[in-house]
Amino acid sequence: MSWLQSLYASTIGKKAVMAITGLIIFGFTLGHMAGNLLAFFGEDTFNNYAATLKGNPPLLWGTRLLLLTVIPLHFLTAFQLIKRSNDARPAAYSKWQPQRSTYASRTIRFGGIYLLGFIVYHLAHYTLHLTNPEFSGYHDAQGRHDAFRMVVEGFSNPVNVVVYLVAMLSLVFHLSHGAWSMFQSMGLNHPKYNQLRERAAWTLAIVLTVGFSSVPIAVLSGVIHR
Amino acid sequence: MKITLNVWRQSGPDAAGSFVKYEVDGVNADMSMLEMLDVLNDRLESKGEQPIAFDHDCREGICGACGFMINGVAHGPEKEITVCQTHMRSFKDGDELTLEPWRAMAFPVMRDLMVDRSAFDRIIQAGGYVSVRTGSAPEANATPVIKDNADLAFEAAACIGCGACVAACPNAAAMLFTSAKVSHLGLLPQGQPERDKRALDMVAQMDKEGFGHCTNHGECEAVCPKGISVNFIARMNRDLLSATLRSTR
Repeated sequence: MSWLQSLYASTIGKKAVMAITGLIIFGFTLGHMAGNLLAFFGEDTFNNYAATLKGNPPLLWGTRLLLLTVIPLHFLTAFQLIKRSNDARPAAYSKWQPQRSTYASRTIRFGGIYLLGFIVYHLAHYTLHLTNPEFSGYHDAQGRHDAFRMVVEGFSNPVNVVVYLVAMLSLVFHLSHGAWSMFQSMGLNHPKYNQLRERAAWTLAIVLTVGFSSVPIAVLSGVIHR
Repeated sequence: MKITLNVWRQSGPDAAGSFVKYEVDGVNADMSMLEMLDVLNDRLESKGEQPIAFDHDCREGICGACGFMINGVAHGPEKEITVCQTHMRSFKDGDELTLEPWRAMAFPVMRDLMVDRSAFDRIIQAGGYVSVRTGSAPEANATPVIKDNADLAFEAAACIGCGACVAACPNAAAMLFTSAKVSHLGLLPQGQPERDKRALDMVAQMDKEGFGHCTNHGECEAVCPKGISVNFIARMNRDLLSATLRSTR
């Protein structure tokens, strides 16, 4: 397996790792967003969805294990690459004018760092209930975990909504660059499809961000309520 | 024209450098950037000061010897041009220009605006060659080449190795240079025998020299005097990944 090690040691191999792990995380967030939107269909649908996920351990733990591998790998590789980039230019320019790079491409690492903090908070908030231990005790009339109540109460707090919305704003920029960049990193490039790649990245990034943001905004504005 | 220059002065590889301000009067708009520096250097020498060191050779924009940052842009404000072909008419009377050498760990500053780009030579040595049958010359049309590939190979071969891509890249990556060299041989039938080995060896050498990685900003393409496309970087990524999977190494 030394070929795999030398691939990972190379700058191009590391970018391939960023692309593949990024694609998996991206796929998960699409599914996650679709699930979240069920909150608009009311308590019963949402709690039923939550119970269905919890009632399918292979799916639940398969996804969790995959993400627990892929997300740390994405961040670890990113930090190694950032270090490499810093080492590659020890003395900064006194003056540097960007010619082609975009706000999204230049801030992708900062968005990523915010998202890392956000993921930790998000897990502590809605998955592990460390920030709100009372969430674990919520049950609906059918005895299912009342995920709907948890979401409504969580997003009734404007501070939480701001934390989530900033994360979603980071996500739109992160993905608008990352989601086409991964094709480039994997060598998937063709003049016929290059423009499509960038448009699809922006479209999907906006769909994800709007979809994710709609739930906290709807709760805070009273559209989704108990 | 009167131009104010802030020039990076550094007496040697290990010396500390700093910016020094020069007021240059009587600049002709038709002078090239380097001719303007020649005039300034004459004046410095007549005062007994050390002239500003910069690399140059053909002064026709085709050799790749010259290059430095002008106001934070590699080769200056004009597109697809080197500093020797950047003329003072690109600037206005009274402009202040900051001239700074390429900055990268793999391109140590030798003196003033001169950097050591021998890292590029070592990348070429690692795989920038093809096997040829020696002896009598082969029949010229014996090997068919797809026209599109011939054109692409030619675009890649236009790289003059000036180092602007590294200089402009926020990660000081040599991806555009290396990908142009990997591609211009890899696109042609004559380059196929070493295709995998070439990608593996040239990328390994590029990494060893301490260049950064690609984050797809496109800054390299924007400053490249030969307009080489970042599509070649994707091609190199593809070559490297498939060579890794396919080769016996």
